[in-house]
Amino acid sequence: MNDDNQEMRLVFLGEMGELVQDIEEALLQLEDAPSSRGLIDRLFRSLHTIKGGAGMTGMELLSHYTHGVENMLDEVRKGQLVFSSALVSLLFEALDCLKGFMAEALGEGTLDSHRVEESHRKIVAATGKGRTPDPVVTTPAKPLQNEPLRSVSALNTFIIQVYAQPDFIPLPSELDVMATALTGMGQLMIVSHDHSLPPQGKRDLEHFYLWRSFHLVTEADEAAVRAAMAGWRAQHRVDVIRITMPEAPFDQAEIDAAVDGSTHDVLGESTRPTPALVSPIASLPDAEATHTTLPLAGADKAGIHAIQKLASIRVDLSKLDKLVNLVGELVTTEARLDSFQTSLETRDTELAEALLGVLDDNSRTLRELQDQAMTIRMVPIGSAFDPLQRLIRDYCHDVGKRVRLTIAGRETEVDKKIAEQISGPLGHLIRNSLDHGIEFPDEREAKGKLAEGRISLSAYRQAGLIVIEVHDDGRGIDIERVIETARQKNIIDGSKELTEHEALELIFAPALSTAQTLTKVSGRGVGMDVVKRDIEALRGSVDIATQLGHGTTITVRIPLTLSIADGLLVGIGESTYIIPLSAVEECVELLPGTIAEHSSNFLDIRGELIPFLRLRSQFGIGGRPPPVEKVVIVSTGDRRIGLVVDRLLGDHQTVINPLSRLHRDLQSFSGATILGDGSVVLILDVLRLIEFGRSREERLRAS
Amino acid sequence: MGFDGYTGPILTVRLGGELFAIPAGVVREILDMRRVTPVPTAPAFVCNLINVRGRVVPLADLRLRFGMPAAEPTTDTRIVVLEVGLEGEPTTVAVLADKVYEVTQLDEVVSSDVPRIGSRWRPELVAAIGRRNGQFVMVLDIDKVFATAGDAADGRPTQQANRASSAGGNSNAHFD
Repeated sequence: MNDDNQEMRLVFLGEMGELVQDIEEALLQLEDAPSSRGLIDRLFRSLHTIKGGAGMTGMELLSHYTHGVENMLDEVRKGQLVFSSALVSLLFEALDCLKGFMAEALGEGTLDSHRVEESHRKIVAATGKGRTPDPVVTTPAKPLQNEPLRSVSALNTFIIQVYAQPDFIPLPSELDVMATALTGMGQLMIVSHDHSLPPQGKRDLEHFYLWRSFHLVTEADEAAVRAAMAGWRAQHRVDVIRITMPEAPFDQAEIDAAVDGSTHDVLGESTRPTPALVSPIASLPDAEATHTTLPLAGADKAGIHAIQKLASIRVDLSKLDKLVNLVGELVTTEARLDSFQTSLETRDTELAEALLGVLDDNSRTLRELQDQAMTIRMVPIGSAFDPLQRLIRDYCHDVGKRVRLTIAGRETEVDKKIAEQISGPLGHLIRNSLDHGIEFPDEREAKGKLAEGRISLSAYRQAGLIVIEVHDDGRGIDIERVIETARQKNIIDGSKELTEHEALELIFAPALSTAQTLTKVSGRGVGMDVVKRDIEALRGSVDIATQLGHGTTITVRIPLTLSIADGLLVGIGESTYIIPLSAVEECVELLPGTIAEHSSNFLDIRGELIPFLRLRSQFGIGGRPPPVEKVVIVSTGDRRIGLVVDRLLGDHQTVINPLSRLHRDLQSFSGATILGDGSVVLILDVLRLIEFGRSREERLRAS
Repeated sequence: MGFDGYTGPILTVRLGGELFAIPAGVVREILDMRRVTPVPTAPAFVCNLINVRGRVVPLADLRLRFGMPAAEPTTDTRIVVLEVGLEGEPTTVAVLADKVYEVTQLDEVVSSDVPRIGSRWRPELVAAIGRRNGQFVMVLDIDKVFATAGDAADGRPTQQANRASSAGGNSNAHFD
């Protein structure tokens, strides 16, 4: 295969990943609503797209296999085959096979061909007898590699672009309707999404915006495609561009030529506006809108080129890391330049002034570069949630519990590394909820709960943190029993009195399990300690809240990004430290009046008691504090602590260097950074400091 | 690390009154003494950080690791930057040396079986003993020197850390 085709296959595999995920979601939902026509259609569409893409990229075996699954679903759609749980199982097997195909094509694994054959055989068997086999089905399976691209010269290829009006508000269902019209005609790929559609209110009335573009390979001719899009032409501008492909279906030069040619067609049309185009504009109340012109050729071309460069590319994560590191080094160098500028001011004011201007410009660009570099690494956290749905399904299936999972905030963006590394701990937490939390249906009913348990998973951002909550409405944690077990296992001293918080912390102790029976899922006493360790490796924290009989909520908090942050420089004696600015709520002076009357460990800020910590004694720094110390109040949403320092030294853009293995166990610091003068400064770990403040607070309340 | 018959190049350094050798393969560079940033609550052996070309690198005091008293830096004091494996993770660390001599080779390996009794230095951290210009040289097993450096058992905490961690040993009560 040549490079272009290889690249195309990679793009397809990227898209297939999303489609497979969509299939998985649809399947899970289908179990709850087996008669949902919408879901079956959704499955069918995803499979159809995979089949098409596989065919176009020369993955014949995959195309052939998917075709079989599609046929089966088609019979369900037509009512010739009854949808049953056996069928769902077949589809889940098929899903695993699709994942196998993908893993093999990406070089991440090998395809279990026996399993695929077995699954294919079952699917074909389930599909109605007496059907004339489709010619594609009888095509013998061929090896995937070195397979020449299937000739598609008998087919027409179209690029269909939908330009939305400025006042158009897209609804997800609209895409579905549109895609349905097209999928029936051939192989459809959605090439670009609505990235180029600015939010409502930010749109320029002079422009139409590229909303969606599709790539359709079909036997139908241009007129038929245009007819299929007729419904859309009433509301939007729709361009249908036919691409001729003599040999390879994706010859870049050919596409360029075709696109350039069509641009003129588009412009030609624009000089004599069609009624479809004029009517919605004319109906706008604003008279000025009638002067709306179509975008200029340049803009139009840019839009077309944007879709040629496909919607996404796959980049090796190590390259991104390198990029982020380089940006980090630039930020460090910038800080050094700033300090030179400052020292220049005393010698040559004019030059210093000029340099300041340059540095300001530089710093703006750098800030933008940095933001961009960081956002490249951001992915929706939903990707970490997806495996959990399957986990719950399989567990319930095996054990006989019933659980409904609800997910909120799956679009919350986090660093790719967090999304990857959080999946394991979340799996542990969910397993724990399933095993220890959710009761069996009869037990639940006896307690007056719904037979079906609820687990909810939600993610949101708060003060520079990503917060993930796992809630179940199960039996809750019996704190007394935790303490008892911990005593029996000598994890705690027999006579020690514990606060509720301390007792719950025991859950994270290695080798503690209060489950009365062991299951294959959890309850071996491994798990929660691993969860805590994994989350702490991401500089995060885990909290538990529980109500006996009513359920448990586990809250995971993780700093949003792992490499760059704004920091507040503080001084204590000769030492300097950095506090992440995102966590800083306010800074106050430590006056005798601010310390709470009855407890010298608390600040009284506008009537609210906040625990505080003298970093000078915490870090064993000698010398005398200044007459008036400063308190930096930091928070993670609902919890706060005041950190007492000598001086506030200002803001600093911080490139976080993680601490080496030698210092990773330290509780007070999350990393280090280098200042403009070359000195190394430690970054305070706000999550842990707050944790400390809380445990002290509880102990004081208890006593 | 097998230093049996170790014949590779070594960097000879002085710690206190003893001559030690670091396998030259792990040595990245040798720097003059520079400003250090203390790390409160860290084990005394690795209680500082330094800036090495824009990177934050832990600085270890090998004297403390070998049970010698800490010493004020002199004009001879150097920082030796090393690349070591910590639990399989390649890590840049730096060590203090009272004096750095040369990159050389051992004239002969006297013993790869370091005697456990009668050694003033910790025998488990020495890979081999050799001779160079008539003097005994102890070749350090660098991975072992750092392997247990973070352990509580080995962390003679600094004065400041002492206060911070004396009340509570476990992580929850660490700040008491």
